[in-house]
Amino acid sequence: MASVRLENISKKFDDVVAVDKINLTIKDGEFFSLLGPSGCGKTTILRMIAGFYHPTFGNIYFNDRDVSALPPNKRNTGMVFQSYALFPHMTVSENVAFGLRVRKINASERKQRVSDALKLVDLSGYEDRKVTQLSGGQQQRVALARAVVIEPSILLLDEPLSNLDAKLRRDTRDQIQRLQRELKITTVYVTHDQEEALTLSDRIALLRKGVCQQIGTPDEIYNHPSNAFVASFIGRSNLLEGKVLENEGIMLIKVEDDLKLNVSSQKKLEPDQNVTLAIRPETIMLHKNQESRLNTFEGVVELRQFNGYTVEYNIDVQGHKINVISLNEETQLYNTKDKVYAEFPVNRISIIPQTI
Amino acid sequence: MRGEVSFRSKSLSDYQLKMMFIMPTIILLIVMNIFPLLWSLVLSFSDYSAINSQAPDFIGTKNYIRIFSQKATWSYFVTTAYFVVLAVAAQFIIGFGLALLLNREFQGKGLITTLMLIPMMLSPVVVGLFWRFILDSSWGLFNYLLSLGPAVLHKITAALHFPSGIVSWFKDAASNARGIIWLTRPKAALFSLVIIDTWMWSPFMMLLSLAGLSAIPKYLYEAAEIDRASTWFKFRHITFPLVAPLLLIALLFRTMDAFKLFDLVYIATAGGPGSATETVSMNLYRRAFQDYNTGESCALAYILLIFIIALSNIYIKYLNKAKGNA
Repeated sequence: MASVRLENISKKFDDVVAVDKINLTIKDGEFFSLLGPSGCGKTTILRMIAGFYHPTFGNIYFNDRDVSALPPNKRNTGMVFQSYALFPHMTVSENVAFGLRVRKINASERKQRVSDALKLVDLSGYEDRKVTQLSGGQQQRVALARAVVIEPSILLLDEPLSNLDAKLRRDTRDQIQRLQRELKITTVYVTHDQEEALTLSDRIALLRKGVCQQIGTPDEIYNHPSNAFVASFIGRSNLLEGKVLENEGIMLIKVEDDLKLNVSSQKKLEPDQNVTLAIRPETIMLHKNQESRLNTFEGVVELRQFNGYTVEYNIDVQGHKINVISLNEETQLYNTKDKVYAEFPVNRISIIPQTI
Repeated sequence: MRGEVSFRSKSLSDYQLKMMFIMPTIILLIVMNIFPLLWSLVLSFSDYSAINSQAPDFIGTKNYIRIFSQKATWSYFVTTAYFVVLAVAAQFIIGFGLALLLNREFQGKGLITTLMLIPMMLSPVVVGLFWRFILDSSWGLFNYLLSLGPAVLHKITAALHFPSGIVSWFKDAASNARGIIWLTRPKAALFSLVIIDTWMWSPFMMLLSLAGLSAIPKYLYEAAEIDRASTWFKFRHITFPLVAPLLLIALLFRTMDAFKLFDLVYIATAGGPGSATETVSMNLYRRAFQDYNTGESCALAYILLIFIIALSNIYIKYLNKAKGNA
C-alpha cells in the first residue's frame, strides 16, 4: 500500500495545458476518484500517476518517494484500462498470469495466485476460456483480476465501467467496491459519471479544464459545492444570483425585491457582496398554503413529470425557473398551472461567493 | 408509387437483374480462366505441339510419366525449392525487421515508407535488367560496394603501419570482392537471383507486417509495461502472436509467387549458367515455347499447380491455427 501525493503538477501537450497546478494527497488505502467532464484532465493525471506521461512541472510521490521520472514498470501499480487491454490471443488464466510470468513467479504459486484472483472476481471455472469468448462484464472482471494479482501498491482504474450497460455497471461497481474494501488497496478511479464517484469514493477531486475545482468527501461535495460548476456538475442545482443584505447570524440574501432568502452559513461575507445560491431540487418543499413559513414563496407549476417514486416540477417563482423533486406522495401531487408555495430550507442552501 | 409499380412489372425481375450484373464477370472468367485451365488439362494428356497443325492425340498419362522419369525435372524442383526457401526466408527477416523499425512515429516516416516500396512497384523485367548491370563482375556497383569496406580498412591499416600480413589481407579481400562473378558462376547465380528477388519483394513483406503491427492496440503494450514486461517479452508474447496471421498470409503470397518465378530468371540468367538457375517455370517456358512440346508443358504446369496447392494448404492450416490463437 502507498499514499500518493501530487505536488503542483502540470502537463502541457504542445501549447495545450491539460493539467494545471494540481495539488492533492491520496491517503493509504483510500478510494479516490478523479471526476469531471471530457477533456478535464482526469485521465492525464491518472496516466501521470501510472508513468505513461511525465509531468511538465511538479512532482509525484508514492509515500515519500519521488516517482516523477520513473517509467511505469518501476512504480508497482496495477491498472484497469477503459478498453480492458486484455490480450486477445490468451486465455483468462494466461491473461491474469501475465504479470506473474514477467516476475518469474514459479508455476505452482502462479496457478494458486491466479485462482485466488479469479475467485475474488467470481470467475472461478473460466480459467481456460479465451477472453474473446467472454461478455463485457466478464472481460472487465478479468482485467480487474489481472490488475490485483500482482499485488500493486496502487490500483488505477480508467473509466472501467464506461463500456458496460446500466445493470452490469451497477453490479460491477459493487464488485469493485467490495474488492477495494477487502484488499484495502489505495485506488485512483477516473470517471465522468458522478453517480459512480459518489457511491464508490472515500474522496473525490472534481476537475474542469485541467483545474481542480473541489476536493472532498462525496457528501461535502454534494451538500457544500465550492462553486457553481461543482453545484451543477454534481447532481442538479437551482442557481440563483443575489446580494448579501445582512450577515449577522442567519444571512439574508436578496435575489429580487420580493425574493429574499434566509441562509444559514458559516461563511464570512460582506454586505452588498454578490453571491450565487445553489439549492438542490430535492431540498425544496412544496405546500398548498403559505402558513407563514420562513423562505416560502408563491409560484406556479409550469411542468410536471411523473417518474414513479419521484415527481419533478418546474415552478415559476417570480420569473425564476425552480426545479423541484418531490417524493411521490399521492396526497401532495400538483398539476400544471396550480398555485404552490415553495419552501427553501434555511440550512440546505449553499452560498457561493462570486469572485468578480 | 404508380410509376414504381409499372417500372417493376415492365422491367427485369430480381433474378434477371442479378444475372445481368454477374454474367459479364462469369463470361470473362470462363473465357480467360476456366476454359484455358480445362483445355490445358486435356492437352496434358495429349501428344500435341502448338506449331503443328495436327489435332491433339490422347496418350493418357505418358506426359506425366515422362516428366517424372527425367532426372533433370527433379533438379529443377530442387533449384526452385532452394530459391523459394532462401528468398522467402530473407524477405521475411528483412521485411519484418524493417516493419518493426518503421512501426513508430518519426519525422519523414511516410516518405521513407514510400521510398522503400518502390522496388515492388517496378516491372520484374526492368529489375532483372538493371541488376544485371549492378552485378556485373567487371564494373558492377555491387562488387564495388562489397570491396569498399576492405579497401578502406586496407588504407587505414597501411597508414597506421599495421603488420604487413593484415594490410595485405585487406588488400586481397578488396580485390577478391571486386572480382566476384555473380550471374555466370553456377553456385553464385542462384544466390544472385535470391538477392534480386529479396531486394524486390522485401517491401511487400514489410508492408503487410507493418499493417499487422499498426493494428495492435497501443494499450496492450501499456498493460504489459505496467506488468513490467521487457521489450523482448512484449515482442514474444504480444507482438509476434498477434501479427502472425498476417505474416502467414504474406508468406503464403510470397511462396506461391516465388514458386512460379520466371520473368526474373528469364531476364537475369535465362536459367544458366548450364541449368544452375533453371526453375520449374523457366523449364516450363522452354518446353512450351522453345521445344514447342505443348502437351508435356501442360502436364508440367499441372504438376506445379498441384505442388503450389499442397504447399498453400499447409500454410492455410497454420494460418487457421494462428487465427484461432489471435
